[in-house]
Amino acid sequence: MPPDIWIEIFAFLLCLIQFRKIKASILKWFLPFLLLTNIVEWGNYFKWYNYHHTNNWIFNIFNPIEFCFYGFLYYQTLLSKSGRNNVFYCCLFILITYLVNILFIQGFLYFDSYSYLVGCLVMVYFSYLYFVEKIKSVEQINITKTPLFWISVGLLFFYSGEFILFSFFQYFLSINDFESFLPVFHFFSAILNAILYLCISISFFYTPKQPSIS
Amino acid sequence: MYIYLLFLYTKTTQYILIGIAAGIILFLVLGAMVIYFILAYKRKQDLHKQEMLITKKEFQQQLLQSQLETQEETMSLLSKELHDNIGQLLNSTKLLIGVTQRSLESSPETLNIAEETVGKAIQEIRSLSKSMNKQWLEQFNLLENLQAEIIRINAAGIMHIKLSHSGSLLLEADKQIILFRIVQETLQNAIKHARANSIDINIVNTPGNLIITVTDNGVGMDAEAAKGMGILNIKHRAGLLGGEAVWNTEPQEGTTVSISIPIKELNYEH
Repeated sequence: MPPDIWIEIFAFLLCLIQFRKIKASILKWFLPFLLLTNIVEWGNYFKWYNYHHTNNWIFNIFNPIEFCFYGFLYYQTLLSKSGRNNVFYCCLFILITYLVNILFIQGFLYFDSYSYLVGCLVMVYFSYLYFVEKIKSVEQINITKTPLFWISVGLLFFYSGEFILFSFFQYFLSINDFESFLPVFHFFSAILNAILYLCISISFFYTPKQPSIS
Repeated sequence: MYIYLLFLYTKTTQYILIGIAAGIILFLVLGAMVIYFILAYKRKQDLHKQEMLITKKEFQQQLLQSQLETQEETMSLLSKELHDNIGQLLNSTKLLIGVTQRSLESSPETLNIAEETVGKAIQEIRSLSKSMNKQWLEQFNLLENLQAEIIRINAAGIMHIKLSHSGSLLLEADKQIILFRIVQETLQNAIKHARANSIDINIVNTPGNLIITVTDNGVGMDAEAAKGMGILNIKHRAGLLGGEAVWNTEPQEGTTVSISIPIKELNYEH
């Protein structure tokens, strides 16, 4: 199994172990989310979802759910109303982009890389919103000990890297040389996944036993 | 292990793949730098806020100290005025009554009562003047000052104030005065607002703290009274000594004020 899947299994098990601690906070939703992530990734690896010789379609369903899940975290945690509104409209925009892409541009059976690129940018924007709010905040707290800080760090690294990777995804497909791209793709995907799920795992340790995670 | 694969590709593909790798590494480094700057900025911001808070607290303490000094000066002036002017006027009045009494064969009862009343007024003015005089306060310790104050109030026969304490206190003069003024203000509240007729003052030494408890049998204190200037003064003064004042009150069941002061700052001695 590729290292990405091991890292995701590790994050899920850690979430399960820490669940008693995080169950009072919004991070409790990571348990079903990480379970779903693992099911999707395992299924992709073992080719459970093959339909018309492809399993790309599962990511066209899972990725918008993933983006909306992170949007939900930020929506619940950001204090400014404008920030929360931005998160809501960005999630709506991602869903519309996916719908339009599936119906009119890249289709359902093909990996919707354009919508994914939009999602990557939006995720970077969400972490930007969080950091800006923390900089403007008057409360004196060590932000490195807040769970959303680590989630934001993970998302910033992961989706910045993914944006570059997937920018070339379509190019290599178009020149019929995707095989050349695959080693680089797998190598950086593993690194970026490791960063993201490690940051998510750290966030579980810094979750206070109360509803707020800001 | 992937690097050797690069040599199998065309030059263009090689450049693109190297570009992708460099781009991702650049983005990761940039991300790390952004996070480093955010953390550094936040730390600097927190430090600045902390310094501002300390400065603000110090300024408030200095302001309160100078307010108290001004108050003490005003009280000293009032004490001097009471003693030198009103006291002298009353003395002259008593003298004139005495002269009148001697010139009459049998002085009327009303004149005798008037002489007695003026005498009491002179005593009252003297003790009030003493309790307001800062120089006089500096000569005695808190317990003696309180005892004198209690005797003065009890002398009127309306109130019964009892003082109990363990050990003796050696406080710095300015801190003694602040504590004395706190108890004075508390007594005034109990007499004036709570309409109490019995007050117990208890001074206890606990490890690290000096606790003064003032308990009265008055009508208690409502929320409006809790916002009064007297209460704020007590809180400010206790805060100036690094301590706090806590009120425990029930309607018609009296009030207990607990003033707790850390004694490490007060040179306390058993």
